[in-house]
Amino acid sequence: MEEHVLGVTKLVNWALRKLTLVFLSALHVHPENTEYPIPNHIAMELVVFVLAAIFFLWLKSRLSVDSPGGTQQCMEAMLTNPMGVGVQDLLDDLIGHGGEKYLALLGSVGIFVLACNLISVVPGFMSPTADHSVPLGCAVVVFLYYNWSGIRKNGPIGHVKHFLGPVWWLAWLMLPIELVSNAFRLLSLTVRLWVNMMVSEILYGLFLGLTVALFVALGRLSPLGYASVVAPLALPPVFILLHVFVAVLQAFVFTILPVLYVSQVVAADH
Amino acid sequence: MRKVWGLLSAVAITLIAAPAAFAQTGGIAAPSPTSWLVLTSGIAYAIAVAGCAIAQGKATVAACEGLARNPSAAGAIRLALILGLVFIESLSLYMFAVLYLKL
Repeated sequence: MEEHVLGVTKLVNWALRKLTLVFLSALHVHPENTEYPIPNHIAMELVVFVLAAIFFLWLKSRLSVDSPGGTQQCMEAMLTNPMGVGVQDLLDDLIGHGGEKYLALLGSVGIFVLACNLISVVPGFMSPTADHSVPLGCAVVVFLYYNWSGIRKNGPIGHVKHFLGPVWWLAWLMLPIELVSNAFRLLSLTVRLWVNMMVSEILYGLFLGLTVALFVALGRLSPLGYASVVAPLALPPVFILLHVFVAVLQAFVFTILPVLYVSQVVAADH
Repeated sequence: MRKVWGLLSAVAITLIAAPAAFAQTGGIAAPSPTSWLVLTSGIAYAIAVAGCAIAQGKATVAACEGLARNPSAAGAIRLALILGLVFIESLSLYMFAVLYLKL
C-alpha cells in the first residue's frame, strides 16, 4: 500500500530534510523516499513530543499547591484518582512501599502513549502508534527498564534467580518457561498497542467508505436517495468514539502492565 | 417450533447442496497458492474471533454475577472486567497482526 503523505509530514520534512539526509547517509542508510525522508509516523511522534513538551512546560509554570487551576487538577487525576486508576494508585497497589521511584519513567511512557493514541482524532494527524515501530520502541524501553530495575534491586544473580521459580528442583523447567514468557511480554505489548490502534482507524475508514458508497449508489438510483446522507454523517462518528475509547483503554493497559512487571521483579521479600 | 426447525433445516440443506448442484465438469481452475492463503487466513481468523467471543462472554457473565451479589464492589468488578476484556480482545488482534503481515 502506498502511503499518503500527511501535511504535517511535509512540514516536518521541509524543516528537517537536509539534516535527516546528512544523518542517514552518515549511517549508510538510504531512505525509500528521498523527497520526504521522515515517514509519517516519525513526523507525528515529533509533533506529539513538541506539543506535549510545550504543554507540560506551560503547566509547570502554573503549578501551585494552594490554589491549583483546572488543568492541574485534571493532570493530578491522572496520578491519583477516586476510581483507583491513576499511575500513582497503580504503583501503590501493585508495588507498595518503594513505588515512587518508578513513577517517572512509567508515568511518562503512559502519558506519551495516551497522547500518541489520542492525537489521531484531530483531522490531518495519524497516531504514531498505528505503525509497528512506535509501539515497539515503547515496549523495548519498558522491557529494558523493568529488567534493569530488577538488576539494580537484586543484583544480576538475584535477578536471574527470580527466573528459576520457587523451588530449586523445578528450575530446569521454570527457566525456559520464564525466559519465553518474558520475551513474549515484549512482543505482546507491541502487538497489542499497534494492532488496536491500526484496527480502530481501519474500522472508521471502512464504515465511512461503506456509508459514502451507499449514499452515492442511492443518489444515482434516484434523487430521493440523497436523503441517505444521514448515514455517512451519523455512523462514522460512532467509530471515532470507539477509537477514543480503545485509545484510552490501551494507554491504561500499557501503563498497568509495566507496573505489574516491575512489581514482579522488585517483589519485597518479607 | 417444529415448523421453524423444518424451515431452517431445509435452508441449511439447500445451502450445503448448492455447490454440488452447480458444479461443472472441469470448469473451475485449481486454487492457486495465493488463494489458499486468503482462504485459510479467513477461516483461521474466524476461529480466533469465535474463541475470543466465548471467553469475553464468560468474563462478562462472571462480572454480572459478582456485581449482582455484591453491588458495593462495583468499582473493583468493573475495573477487573474491563481489564479482562481488553486482554482477551488483544488475543484476537494478534491473529489480525499475523493476517496483516502475511496478506
